[in-house]
Amino acid sequence: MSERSHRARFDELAGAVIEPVRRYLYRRVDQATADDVLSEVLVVLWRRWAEVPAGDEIPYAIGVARLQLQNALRSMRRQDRLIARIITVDPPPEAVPEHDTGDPRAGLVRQALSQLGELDAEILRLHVWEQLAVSEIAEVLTMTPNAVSIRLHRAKKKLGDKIRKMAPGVGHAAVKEGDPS
Amino acid sequence: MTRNHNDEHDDNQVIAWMRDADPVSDLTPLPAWQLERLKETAMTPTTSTTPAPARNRRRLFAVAGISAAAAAAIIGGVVLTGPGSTGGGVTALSAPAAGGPTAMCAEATPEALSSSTLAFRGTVTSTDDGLVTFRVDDVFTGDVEQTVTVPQGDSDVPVDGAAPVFKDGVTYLVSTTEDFIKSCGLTGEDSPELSSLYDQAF
Repeated sequence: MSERSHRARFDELAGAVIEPVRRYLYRRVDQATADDVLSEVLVVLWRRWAEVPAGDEIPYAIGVARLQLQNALRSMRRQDRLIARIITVDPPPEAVPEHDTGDPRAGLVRQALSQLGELDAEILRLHVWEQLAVSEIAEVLTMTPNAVSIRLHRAKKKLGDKIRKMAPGVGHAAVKEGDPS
Repeated sequence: MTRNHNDEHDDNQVIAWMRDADPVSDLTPLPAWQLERLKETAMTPTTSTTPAPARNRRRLFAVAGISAAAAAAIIGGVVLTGPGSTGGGVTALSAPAAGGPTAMCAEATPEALSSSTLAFRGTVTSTDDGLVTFRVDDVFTGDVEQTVTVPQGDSDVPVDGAAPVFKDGVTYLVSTTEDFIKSCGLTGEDSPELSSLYDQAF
């Protein structure tokens, strides 16, 4: 492929995936780390444009972002450990954005989400926030769609149970609210 | 109301709660000029390196399989069987950041090699369709599958830092920064000199 068509394909690809990938990252880490990783994702996409499956650009790019983010977080943890050894103070916790939306229920949901197993939580996030289909989640996490489907079903139940347990009034009222019977 | 109906209702409720808790629901799109800058950065070769954790040198035997691939994806920081790839225990590498008329190589030293993410000795088994396939004979550092693929270099670009051109049947010593092949004499045909550099580095 010529340099020009490579560039054109990359322009198209970057335009299609930039916002989904950016939101994926902003949901999971602080802004500075998210911006760094976003930049790295584009580097990978520029290099690997030929491997990006047509029609599945977004899950592919989110899969790349996921791995790049894992690398960045590992690197941050290494630095944290080093700093902890040198100045013997506790390093800051792994960066997870605290978005104060002013909605106490949102805080409750995120707290409940953090109590799930990481894989369950990630499947829920990919499903609800990234709005990926089961097959796309399977691609991002390199799992089978069947395994994702089963986990997703269980994760929804677990999250609902946790929220209702943490705030019985909210959960109970919510269940009653829409019950047509 | 049936139990299934209740479950479905609960699921929908959970999804609605989660949707309301989306931390970036009000994120404004990236301004066009920032996207352009990001794209330009992506297309510009970089020279950054990521130090790899020190590992004991090991011979590679049968390490194919999902768990090995997963471990390598995590530890090596390389997309191995990531989305869109065919899997099957292949480490897919990229050509180096392209050299250019102004690129100059520093002297190949063990220090330059020691920061490699991956380093291995491999023999080229095919060079079809611009893709070089290596059978990995020996791993110096990083988690490398038994088979490694890398785009073939262009023999018409004889500049410093250009992608190496690999020949079928020849054994090479290959090192990478993340998943990009190192050039500048740090990847080359297996020779006593280069082998000595690798032995000193790892």
